[in-house]
Formats: sequence, C-alpha cells, structure tokens
Amino acid sequence: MKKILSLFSATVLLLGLIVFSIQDVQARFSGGHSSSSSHSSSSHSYSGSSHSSSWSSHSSSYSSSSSSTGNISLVTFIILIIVVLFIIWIIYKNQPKTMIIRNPNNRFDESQLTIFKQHDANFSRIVFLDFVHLLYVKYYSYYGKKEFSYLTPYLSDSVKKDNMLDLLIGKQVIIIDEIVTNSVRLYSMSSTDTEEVIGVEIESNYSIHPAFYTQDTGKQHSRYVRTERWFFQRNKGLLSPAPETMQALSCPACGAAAHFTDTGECDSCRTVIIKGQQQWYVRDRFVLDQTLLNTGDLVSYSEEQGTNLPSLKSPTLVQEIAGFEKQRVIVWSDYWLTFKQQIVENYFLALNAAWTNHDLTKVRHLVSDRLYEANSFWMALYKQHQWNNRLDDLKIQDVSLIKIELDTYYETITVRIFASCFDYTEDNDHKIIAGSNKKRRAYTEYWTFARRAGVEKTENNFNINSCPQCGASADKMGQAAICDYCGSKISTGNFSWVLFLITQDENYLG
Amino acid sequence: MKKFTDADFQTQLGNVIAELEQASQIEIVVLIKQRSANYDDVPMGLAANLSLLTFSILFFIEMGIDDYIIYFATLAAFGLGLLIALALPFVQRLLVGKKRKLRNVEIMARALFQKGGLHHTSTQVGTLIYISLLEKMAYIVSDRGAQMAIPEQQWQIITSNLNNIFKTKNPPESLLKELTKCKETFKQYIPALENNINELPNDLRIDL
Repeated sequence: MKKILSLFSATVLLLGLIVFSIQDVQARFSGGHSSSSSHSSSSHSYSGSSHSSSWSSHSSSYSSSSSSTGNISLVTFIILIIVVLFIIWIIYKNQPKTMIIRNPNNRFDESQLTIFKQHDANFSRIVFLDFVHLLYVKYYSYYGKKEFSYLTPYLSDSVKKDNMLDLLIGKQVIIIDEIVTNSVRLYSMSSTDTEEVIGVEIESNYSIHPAFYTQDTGKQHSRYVRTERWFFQRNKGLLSPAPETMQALSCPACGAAAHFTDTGECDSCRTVIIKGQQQWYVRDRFVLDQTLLNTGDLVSYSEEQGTNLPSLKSPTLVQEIAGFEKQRVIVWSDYWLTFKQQIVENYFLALNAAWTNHDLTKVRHLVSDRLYEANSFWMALYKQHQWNNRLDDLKIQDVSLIKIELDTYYETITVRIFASCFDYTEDNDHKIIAGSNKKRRAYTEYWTFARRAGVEKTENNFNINSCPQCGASADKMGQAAICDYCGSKISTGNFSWVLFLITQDENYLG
Repeated sequence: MKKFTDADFQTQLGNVIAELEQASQIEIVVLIKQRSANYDDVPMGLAANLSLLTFSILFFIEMGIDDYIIYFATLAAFGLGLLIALALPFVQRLLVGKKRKLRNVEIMARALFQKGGLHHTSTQVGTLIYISLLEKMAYIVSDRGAQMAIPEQQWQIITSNLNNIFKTKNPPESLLKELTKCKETFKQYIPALENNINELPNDLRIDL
C-alpha cells in the first residue's frame, strides 16, 4: 500500500507540475498582449514587490486573458487524477491476496462410514477415536523406552522407526511430556480387496524438555502444537472389538494387558501377533505442521470467524431422527425439547461457569476424559500466567440440531449452540488485558454429546449435580470421573450423556 | 576491516561451520545476502516527498521566484531524492519500517531454506542462519528436529546475538565469533553421534 501511495504522490505531483507548466505556458501563449502583461508582472516581482502581489497579478492575467484555458487545465488535471486513481485501483485489485479456501473435500464423507458399518456393524466412531488417542499418547510417551515394545502389534515397522525421534528421544536429547490432544477426527476411509484403511487427523500440543536435567536447563521447556495424519490398517472382514478391548491396548489374542516382545509376541499367551489380523495398527504417520505454542495467543482476541457461516447439518438428518425415534421409542419433537433444556443448555451453562471460576471438578462427570484433559491444560496455562478468562452474562440465543449418529455401542447428538457473553481476560489485579466486559461477543460452537446405547434413564430425571448412576452428589468425582460413592466411572457415557467434543464453528467439517 | 565477500572470511566461515557440525549433530548452513527485497518504492517515495516539499516551499515562500525555477527545482529535488535513496543503502534501511524489513528477511530465509532443501536431512536437524546485509538482520530457520532439540529461549539468544553483530565495528569478525559461541550450545543440546554424516554442503549457494 505504501508503494502505491508513493507512486500516487509522485504521479500526481508530476502531473500537477505538467499541468502547472502547461497552464503557465498557455497563459503566456494565449495572446501576445497578455504575454507582455504577464511578463511585466514578473519583472515587477523581480523588482521587489511581494510574492502575493506577483501572484495576484499573475492570476489577474489569467482571469483577464485566459480564464477558459485555466478551466480546461483544471478539468484536465482532475481527469488525470481520476485516471491515475483508476490505474492504482486496477493495480491494487490485482495484488495477490492471501485467501483461505476451504476445500469442500476436506469434509469427511459420512457415506464412507455408512458403507463401512455395513460390513462392520460394531464399528463406533467414538470408540475408534478414543483408541487413536490412547495409541497416540502412548506412542510419544513410550518412544525410546522399554515400554515401546508393548505397542509392537499396533505399529508398522516404518512407524516404529523414526530417525528424528531416534536422535532426539532415543539418544536422550529431549523428553516429551504433557501431551494433550486438542482434536482427533476421521479424515478418510478406504478399502481394497484385502485391507481397510482409516485416516485420522490429530491435533495435539506437548512440552519438550532437554533430557539432561540440571537446575537451569530443567526449567527450559518449549511447547509445540502439532498436526499429524495417521493411517490405520487392518485386514478386511474383521469386526471391531468391544469398547473395553479397544480402550485398553490389550493383547488381541488373549485380552491380557499389552506386554509384547520386540517381535510382537504376547508375554501372556505367547501368541505372535500379526499386525492387522485382529486389530488396527498404524501403517503410516505424517507430521503436517509443527509450530511453537505462543502463549500470547491466549490473550489475542481476533474477530469471531465462523459465527455467520451456515450450519453444516447432516445431509441425512431426517433419516437420523427417524432412526433415533425408532431406537428410543420416542417422539422426536418432545424429546428434543427436553434434551435441549436438560442437557445442552444446562451443560453449556455449567461448563462455562466452571471455566470462568477455574474449577472443572464440579463438572468433571459431564465431560469425556479427553476433553477434560485438554481443558484442564488450557486452564492451567492461564493460571500459570496469572490470567483469568471470564465469560460473563452468558446467554444462549439458539440451539440447532446438526447430526445424530447411532452405532452398536454409542449414540451421539451434535448441536450448534449460538451464544453471546462478555468475553475477556483479566490479570490477578482484575485489569483487563484482552477482550471486553462492555461489548458482547456473539459466537457459535458445535458440541457433540455421547451416551452409551441402551441407557434407559430419561433426561427429565437427570440432575447435572448428581451422579447419574447412584444419585449421590457429584462432588467427589476426582480427576478420573469415578464417583466416590458408588465407584462407577461416569465420563464414559455409560450412565448418561457426556460432552465428548467441542468444535469451533470455523473448524467444524461435519 | 573484513568484508563478507572476502575469500579469507569465506574460508574462516567454512571452518567454523565444520567445527560446529563436528561437535554437534546439527547441520548448519550460513547464507549471506546483500538484501532480502527490492524496496523500489522507497527511492520513489523519498523523491516524491522531497519534490513535494521543494514545491511547497517555493510556492509559499514570500519571495519572487521565477516559475521555471519552481518547475525545475521541483524536478531536481525529485531526481536528488531518487539518487540519494538509490546510492545510499542506509537511507533505504532508515526509511523502511522494521516490521517490513523483518517480514522480508523472514520470507527470504524461509524461501532459501525450502529451495536449498535443508528439510531433507534424515534427522531433520538442518538449520539455516541467514544474514541480510541491507536490513542488518539475522534470521534462523531450523527444521523440526533442531527446533525441538534446542529450547526456544536458546534460539532467541542466538538470534539476538547474531543481530547484534551489526552493532559492532567489524560485523564479519563478530559473526565468526558468535557462530563459534554457538558451538557449546549446539553440543550441549544436540550432541554428535558416532557416525556423524554431513548431509548438507557447508558452502551452499542458493539463488531465488
């Protein structure tokens, strides 16, 4: 822009000079009689008269002898400026601009999942993504350690060997810890005559410390955000195992805890596990992006990007509602009203209040383990910097249904919540460092709720402050979301709805 | 005073890099360029502003000046501004904003890193130290492995020290000193393996 302005000022100036000189020359040429008058004024000025008088005499010579020529020059000058502005506009219009084009193909094709489920009725997206998350965390936690062999049946040889990780972790250059997965989503599903492949995109962040610990270097750590694409493969024609097997990384043959040798032999049943024969294994992994996590981003408030985007409702939503009605034997319109009030709105308000008050323990039983882990991390990061992100006077404007997914083990409902609040971040002295407590910020988010299929408890009887299993107060859930009164793990959705996923509107791909 | 283009300096630089790579697994490439962008608009802007200033002064000054003098003085001021900005690099450096300079240096550094294929080392430890003389700035682009191995604070210290070489009387000499100082850091955070293979040429020349 500066370049254009400089060019503009230079061009206008030159044009001005040209017009000025033309005007001047024309005034002189407009008749021999005026020439003498003009000349006399000039000579007059030379003789010591004031500059203004010189100009006034000059202009009088214009007005008396060439006012029409002066008008033409003025018009020419204006036209030239317009032409220059037009040229600049054309140049500016053609300047390369950074455009973010959202490829519609990036949206996971849900029909692939439908086809897939036709020959593996046990497949559950939630269970599979939990399995991916588990494997991802263990991969980085175990790399370079003896325990890494426990993952042998789940990793191809190329994934097991990473030159960079060998150097950094294997040679004890760095330690990776505090791995938090922000999102795990299906990316692709494909199959050949003999194999099935699922691509998954994982966004995570983790800390890296120098491996040699000293008082000084131990304090140095960097946090990175990373996006990876992992491809899982298994033989065609298999049925997915039950959630309990998928969530434990156990031996696919005997079910014992995963203790394998480097060759993939189970310590318990001595079976050599052939990859992909009974369970998914990671065929390839690719790092798409890795950037340093800038904590300054926590307090940078940019304009909401996706609030005005249309809702990405499932193309088969009507059929999904019909399927849900059939499975639950309910009337959808009645059910939706209750679900919206008892679950969506209550959860939304309770979770955001917990976030504002820096205390997720009271809502621990309402969220899945992964979501709790991710939110706890961000909350700790705010706390570490002595910042407090507040969402005051939160109001829900609307809730719309986006998708219903049913499988053998889980049922999920995704909604889009339209809300607004005073969103700001303050420091410990209550000084606002970002956002505003005077201007409301409208935003939308996609929330996905999950519940184990077959849970009979109705939403009307559900109280978010009680354990959904025993009814006792939900004040003793701990980090693991196990009720201290009845010993049940609540965050799996076995007893009631849990919030499984939150996706920002600009990132939601269906 | 040494110059960045001196053969003697080039040899010494090569030796320093070799020392660094012997002590550490890191793969270093140092690239020095005269400038990271053509700031064509700067001479033009200076010329335009200078001529506008001249024109305004001559126009409003309470003194009888011939029209032709106003015309030619304005043109002369334009030419002078153009000449000054083109002939004296420090004028360009002064007139270009710091943010813009930094952006251009970063763009050039990342482009050189990419075109030079520094991301092709097997352990992803390729690191480009880029020096841009006109802007008097240094920029480091490191591959994932090197980025992860050396803490961010250390990278910031190294970058800051490299930027400070332009505040010294003899920048080429200071560059060699600063690079030598990096040896301990690199060795500490990313020590050399037994079979340390040099995967990148030390005297890499890349033109965009």
